Amino acid sequence: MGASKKKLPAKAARGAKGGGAAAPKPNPFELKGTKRKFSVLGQREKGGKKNVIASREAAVAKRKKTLLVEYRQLRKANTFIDRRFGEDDPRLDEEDRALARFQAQRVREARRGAKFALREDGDGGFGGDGGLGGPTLTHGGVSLRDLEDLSARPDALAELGDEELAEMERELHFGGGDGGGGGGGGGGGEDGRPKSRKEVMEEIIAKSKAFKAARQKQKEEDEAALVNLDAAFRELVGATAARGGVGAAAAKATRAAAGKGGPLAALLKPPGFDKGAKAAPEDADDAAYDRAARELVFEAKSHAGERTLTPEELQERERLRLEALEKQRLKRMRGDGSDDEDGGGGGFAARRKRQQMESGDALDENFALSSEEGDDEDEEGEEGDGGDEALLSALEARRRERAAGDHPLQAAFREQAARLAAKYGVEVSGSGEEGEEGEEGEEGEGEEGSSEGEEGPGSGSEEAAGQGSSSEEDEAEEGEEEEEEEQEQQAARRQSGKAAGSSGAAAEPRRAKAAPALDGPLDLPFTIPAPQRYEEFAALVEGRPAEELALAVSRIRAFNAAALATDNKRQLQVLYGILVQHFAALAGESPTPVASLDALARALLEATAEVPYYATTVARARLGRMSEQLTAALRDPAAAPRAGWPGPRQVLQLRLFTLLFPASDRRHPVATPLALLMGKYLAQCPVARPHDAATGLLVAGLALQLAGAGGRIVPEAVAFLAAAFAAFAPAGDPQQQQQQQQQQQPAAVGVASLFTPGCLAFSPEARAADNGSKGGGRGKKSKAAAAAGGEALPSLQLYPLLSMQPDDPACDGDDFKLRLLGCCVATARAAAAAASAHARDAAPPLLAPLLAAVDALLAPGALPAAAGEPRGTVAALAAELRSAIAVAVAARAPLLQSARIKTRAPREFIPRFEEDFHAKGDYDHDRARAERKKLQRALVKEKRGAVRELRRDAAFMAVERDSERAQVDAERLASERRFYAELDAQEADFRSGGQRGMHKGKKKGGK
Amino acid sequence: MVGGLEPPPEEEEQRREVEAGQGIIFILEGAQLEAAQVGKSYQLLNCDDHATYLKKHKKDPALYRPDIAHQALLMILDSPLNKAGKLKALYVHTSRNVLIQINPKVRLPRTFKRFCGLMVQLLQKLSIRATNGPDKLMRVIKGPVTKHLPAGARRVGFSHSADKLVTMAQWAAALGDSDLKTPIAFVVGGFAHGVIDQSYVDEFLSVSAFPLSAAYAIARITNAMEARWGIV
Ligand SMILES: C[S@@+](CC[C@H](N)C(=O)[O-])C[C@H]1O[C@@H](n2cnc3c(N)ncnc32)[C@H](O)[C@@H]1O
Repeated sequence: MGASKKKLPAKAARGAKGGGAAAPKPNPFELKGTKRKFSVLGQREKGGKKNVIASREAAVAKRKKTLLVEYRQLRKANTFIDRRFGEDDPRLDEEDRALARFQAQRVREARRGAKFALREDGDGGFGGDGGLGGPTLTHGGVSLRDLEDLSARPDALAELGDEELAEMERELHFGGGDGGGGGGGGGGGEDGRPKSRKEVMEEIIAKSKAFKAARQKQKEEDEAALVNLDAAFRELVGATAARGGVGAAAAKATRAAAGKGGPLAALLKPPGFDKGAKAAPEDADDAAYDRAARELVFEAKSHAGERTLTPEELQERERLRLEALEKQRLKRMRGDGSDDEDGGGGGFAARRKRQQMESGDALDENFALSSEEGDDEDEEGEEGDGGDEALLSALEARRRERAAGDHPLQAAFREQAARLAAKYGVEVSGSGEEGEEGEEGEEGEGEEGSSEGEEGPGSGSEEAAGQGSSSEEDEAEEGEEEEEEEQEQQAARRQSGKAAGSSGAAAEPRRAKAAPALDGPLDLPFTIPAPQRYEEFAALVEGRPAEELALAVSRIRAFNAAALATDNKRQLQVLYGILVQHFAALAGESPTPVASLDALARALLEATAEVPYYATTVARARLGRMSEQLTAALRDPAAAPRAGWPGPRQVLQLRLFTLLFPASDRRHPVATPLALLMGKYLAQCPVARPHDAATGLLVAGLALQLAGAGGRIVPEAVAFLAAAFAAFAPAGDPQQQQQQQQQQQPAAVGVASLFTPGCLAFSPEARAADNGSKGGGRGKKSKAAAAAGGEALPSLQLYPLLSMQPDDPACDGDDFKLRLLGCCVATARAAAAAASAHARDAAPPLLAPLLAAVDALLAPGALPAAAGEPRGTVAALAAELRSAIAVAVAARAPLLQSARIKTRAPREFIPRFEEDFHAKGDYDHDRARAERKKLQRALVKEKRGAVRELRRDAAFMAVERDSERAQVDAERLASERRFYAELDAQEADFRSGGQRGMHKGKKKGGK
Repeated sequence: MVGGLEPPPEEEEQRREVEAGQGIIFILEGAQLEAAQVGKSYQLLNCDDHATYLKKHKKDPALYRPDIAHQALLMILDSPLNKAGKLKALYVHTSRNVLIQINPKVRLPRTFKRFCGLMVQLLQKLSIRATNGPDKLMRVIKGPVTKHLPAGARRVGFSHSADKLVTMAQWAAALGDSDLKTPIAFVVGGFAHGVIDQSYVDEFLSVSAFPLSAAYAIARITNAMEARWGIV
């Protein structure tokens, strides 16, 4: 329908087009439309140009059809509608219309007649004769009237059997009417009733159940058949295998059997057959290949290598090895193969055994012993020695008083000590240990003074610190600090003692006796228990050369490795304290036992990593003590033995700590105080003698070394060097001094030199020689020296210097001063290198005073020319400083770095546009508002349209009315005229007597 | 030995003052920007997305390459030359004879899709305003473009088929201050195939022995001018 509807206008249009004449070309003046500036592809031009005239005409025509008609019918009660047949169809002509009318008439009559007309012919009760088109009942396309009786069968059913027919009848004809018979009627009563829903469902369920049961049964049957087949097949296989000659080709046929047996056997699956399993190898080659592959697979997994041992295990092994060695050693020493433990000869082993047996006492012993144990600079008076207690010196009293003070740290320590004592059931008393009494040389240590023995709290603290409390260690500092007061005297005393013998004073002979008895390394046990007191250790290593000392320490550390026993960590801490103490003790000796110190330093370096916390604590304590000593000495430098400068022990300890702790850390609990302390030495200790200057140079060198690792510089060292150079100028020369001051003024403002002016100046004789030989070959020589890089000057020897007394007359000699100058130059060079390496920007101001001092020294008359060409060296140094400063200045970045000026990009403007622009202009993301707007717009448009339509209607109506009125007027006028004309004619006739005027011709002519 | 602090030389400052007024103008000729109504919406035609549409309207898809204009405009507007304020004006003349004036301070959309949206709106509404300012950033203006060039401006066209092959850097370096008194107008084609048929161009240059993309040709020009003015 739709298609045809659509097609029709199209066809019509085509027809119109095909008509040829088509629409005439419109008059361009009648067309009206908007001209577009940009033609947009794809844009639909709405209507294009409109023909205004045509559209106006159309509007008028439309109004005529609608409005005008309505107007015409206005105030009319009724209208005439012609409903006569065919009247509204213009296609029919008169004849057709008449025909159609007649037909309709006949149909109507027939309809009415059929209902009420009497039957014309008697047969059949069904409708009329068909002539009038009355309805006729048929069945199977045959009129019922033609069927003689109802039971007559249609032809199509003729061939069917009687039963089938009966069946069909029952089903299709509801039992076949009366002919169906009684049986059919009974069945129909059951089935005929429409089934209820429930029944239908039940039927469906029953059906599906039956189907399932059937399927199940089928399956079972299939399986049974399969089993039967299998059995048959097996029999068959058995028969063939038997024929093949291999006996064991039963149902469980192995692969081999399958290979050699009947061909069918290979098809047989073994009972445990798994689909995934690979097929058996066909022949020998395949089998070999399989085997090889399998072997390869298994070979790839080689045996696991020996596990890498953990450090603990390694230590354990080492310990076991040491123990075995010790056993051997003891055996050899005794010269028999008897049980070594019970021999009682090996003092250490025995003691160890004893210690192990009374392990509860072990700490107890230490604790008691610790009262005797001391740091390096111990005093005579020990708390533990009852005899000494009577001889308490004033110092001792003071110290005790201070120890009993109420400093929180002290209180903490006391509390800790009391707890420990309670734990081990020991009274903190000075009584020695019975067990140790027998050991020779043990208790002698305390009195001997070679150890840094001190009063109970001090040493006990070191041990307690081993258990991890730092407060005690601070206590130790305090304890030790006092002991250091007497250090100098003791050092002197010890030195004198050592000058006589080897080390000890009182115990020395005894130990000397013991040492030869165990001569050679044989006397050193392999398994050394960790010493609990310094005396033990001192006795062990007394008189031993450095290698044995190292060996002993390493054995102790190996035997007591921290991982081997829970207590060992603490033992190692004690050992660490003892080692440091021993180091300090050895450092104070004269001449310095360099090799032993090296060995100890190595051992300490390793041990520091094991007990870092304790090591730090010990070092801090010692540094703190040094610092306090310095403070005390600076209170009255003149009275202090070395004017505050550190003695050899301190210097070597400083050196040790620079080795032990990382100097490169930005902040370190040891390295930082260490650096500060050295700076303090350099900046605050007055230099009155050349020896002080030498010590200062030593400290400056150390400080530079320490700072170098962290990329720092030491301004104190540089200032010290500058002052030292200045001090080489003779004091007596006021002019030179002034000159020097002038030179120094701008650089080092207000820094007073700690050097006694001219204290390092060479003797007048040497300088005189210099002046005298000025004209000689000096210039040439100095030039040569300068060229050689200033290596000509002799430098100081460290260890002789350390063992030298401050007031040694050799120190005032020109030779010493020359060496001092050499040392100064070398250190200054190092300082300059450090400054230009680590603080390039600060180098110029830092090095300027130094350069000024060096330049002043180069002035004539300050340096002797005779020995070692000092002038050339100093000149070389000056040149080096100058170049360092120049390089630093040149390397400075320009103040204006154009690359760093980031010009800001000018402001950019972001265009405002919509992501999905619609040309329609107004669209709103708010849907409701958009909808409302749209409606409003539609409303306005409608309104305007309505108004416009009304206006045009009105105009149209006005025109219509006018034309109507004009028509009426015209009619009236016409009738009026006619009327008047008649009247005129009448009048004229009347006047003229019916002749129609006198001048006929004239009138005719006028017409 | 003062550590490198040196004031810039006097001449350099004078140079900068002189150069402050100098600049260039870019004209992108024959840019293939055309909006069309596709379905209900307006879209900037491009050969990829509208292949069937163009076929339906019997247009050659090769002539619809707004991406060239996009790249070229980005090249021009993102150049340090523009950041330094040397780009005095920028015009785009489309193949449908629409002349667009673009404010050098505009920040064009980086993505092509957004660029298309912008251009469609511009072609529909004839001007685009800034979100962060009152100015009209893009406007459709009345041609010809010569009407908008400063009087006496030199008009240099670029084409691979030009007779004069120059090294752009040298050419720019040889420009004297008198040459630069009025901004030079560089005319570059925004199409894939064809030549600039503009009678207003004074001279045609080729900047490479190879045919370049418009964007790269522009890059050469801007680089050379940046070097000329020492813009880094
Ligand atoms: C894809 S190219 C048009 C290619 C065109 N066949 C031609 O030779 O100019 C687009 C624009 O890049 C510029 N261009 C391309 N290669 C150039 C060259 N070697 N020298 C100068 N301008 C070039 C021109 O401005 C050209 O209008």
